[in-house]
Amino acid sequence: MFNKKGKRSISLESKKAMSGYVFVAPFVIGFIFIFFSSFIFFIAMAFSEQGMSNEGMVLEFCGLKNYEELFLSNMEYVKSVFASLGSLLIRLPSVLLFSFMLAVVLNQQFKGRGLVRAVFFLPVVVASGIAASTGNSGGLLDNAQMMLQGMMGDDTGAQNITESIISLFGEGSYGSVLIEGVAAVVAGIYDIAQASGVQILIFLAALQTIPSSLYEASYMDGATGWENFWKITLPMISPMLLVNAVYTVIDALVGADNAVVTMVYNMGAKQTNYTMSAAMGLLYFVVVVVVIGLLMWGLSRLVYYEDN
Amino acid sequence: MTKENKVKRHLLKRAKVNRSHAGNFVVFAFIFVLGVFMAIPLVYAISNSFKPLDELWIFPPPLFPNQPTLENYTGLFGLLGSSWVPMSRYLFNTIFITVVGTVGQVVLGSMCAYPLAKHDFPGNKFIFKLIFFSLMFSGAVTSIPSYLIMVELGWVDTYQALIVPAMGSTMGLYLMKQFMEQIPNALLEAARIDGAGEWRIFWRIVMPMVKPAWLTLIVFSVQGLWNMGASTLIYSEQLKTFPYAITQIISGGIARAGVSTAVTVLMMIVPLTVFIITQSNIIETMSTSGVKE
Repeated sequence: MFNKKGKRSISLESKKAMSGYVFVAPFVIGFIFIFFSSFIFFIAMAFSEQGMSNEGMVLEFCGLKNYEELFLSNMEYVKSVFASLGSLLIRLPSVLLFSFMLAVVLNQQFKGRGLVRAVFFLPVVVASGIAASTGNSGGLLDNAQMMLQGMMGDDTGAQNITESIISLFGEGSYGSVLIEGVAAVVAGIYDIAQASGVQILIFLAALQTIPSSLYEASYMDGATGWENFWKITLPMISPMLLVNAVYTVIDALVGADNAVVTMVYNMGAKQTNYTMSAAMGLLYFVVVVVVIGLLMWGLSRLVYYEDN
Repeated sequence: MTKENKVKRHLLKRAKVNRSHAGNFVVFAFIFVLGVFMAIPLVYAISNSFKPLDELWIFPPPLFPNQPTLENYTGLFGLLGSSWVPMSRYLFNTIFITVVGTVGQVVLGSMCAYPLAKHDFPGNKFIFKLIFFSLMFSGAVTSIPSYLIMVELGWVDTYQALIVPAMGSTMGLYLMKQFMEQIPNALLEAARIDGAGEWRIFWRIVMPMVKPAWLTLIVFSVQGLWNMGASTLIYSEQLKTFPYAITQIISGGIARAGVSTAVTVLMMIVPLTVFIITQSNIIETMSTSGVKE
């Protein structure tokens, strides 16, 4: 087999490189224009003070002054950064484990599989309306949000659902006691399940690209399901484990409903302190980069790529 | 499905028999209970939409309406007909943005992911790292600089202000790249030896092989774009989106509470439909079955 840096003539090598650039170009050009330019501007804002002029907003370089102010006068910021990181420590492993288990189950052949899959994707559909309430992409439906939030947003919401089930059985009956017990257990899992919709789908897609010939071969050799899981399923799915870990962290840390993100957004959009908002955002970005860096470093050695 | 596939399926089924039935039962019971809880919001939303206004305020909310009615839906269509800009325009905007944004995101993301995963050219790693870093940025955090960039480009109050950023979904690119890494190089080499160009390889071999990946990406993309509401980048009324228009209509408070229940159901139907269609199209792609080493 020819490998990437095999014995090839230079012209072919550069021809391949050319086609690589052609494929990458549309995305990268758009990326540079839209994201990268705003990112540069964002960094400039973080180290500047804003002022007014006839031409609109002007930025004056002021070094680390924004950060001085941030650490000396804004107690909430550091606290919520640490709170976000703390909740991630629990959320990341539980979401990964849950979504993987569920994907393995949902990948099996059984009646009503499509329906069950749709049910577990529901939280993503429902939550997007709620997520919109933080304001960055606009509201789905104000009233619907309130209703849905009440139903599934927070702990009070979980109770609401429980109550509506209990009301079916009647207060104080054995049925209601049972339901309350189940609800307490489920409420914990429910939160995790709610955060796992996307991850389940990614794992499912990954499971479906595992060639069945591998399982056939191992079946011929007399392997058990348990061995199949560890020797075939897990290695084959490991690149997606990395994607899901990254997605979970991103979703938890930079999703629109994160406390720090909301704080940064409000600082800019509501208090119109753009430079302070940029300073807060930039520092948070560095924190997230460190977290993802640690995660990639820890997980990348577990990832198996077929051809490398 | 070919005969060969059927035989494979059969073999797979037999391989799974050694799992105990009790274990199966526990797993499915757990899934069932959890599934019921997950489904309740939808069931509740649907049942709410058939309740008359006074029943919406019963606490705790009953699971089924006492006197089912369609007045919420008829009320909604009545309101939709009486707006200044025709409602079909809002709907067109949202459909247009969703379709173009999704197609663009999947095609551009996959095109970019293919060489990043399977070619070795100078700058490959650097480009990927650069794109990967942008993942860690929240759209909410960079909203002000990106607004200013849109002003610079002259894109404020145009469709592309909403569509182009949506096309550059980094998460989608990362997903596609990870899937493409799994494609055996031998298969691509074989195609090259047979004289296929890169463009042909991409559309005829790579994309069909990662079909589960891009079908999944379509679901995410539609979900995000369909719900895109009022944007700071759009101020012309006739360019605004359907969710925005509906938000305006139902922000009438209690008087519009009934209508809003109907709206909730209607807004959820589209992403769910897309989900069900794409999921039923995902089948095993057997990415290495073409290789005999």
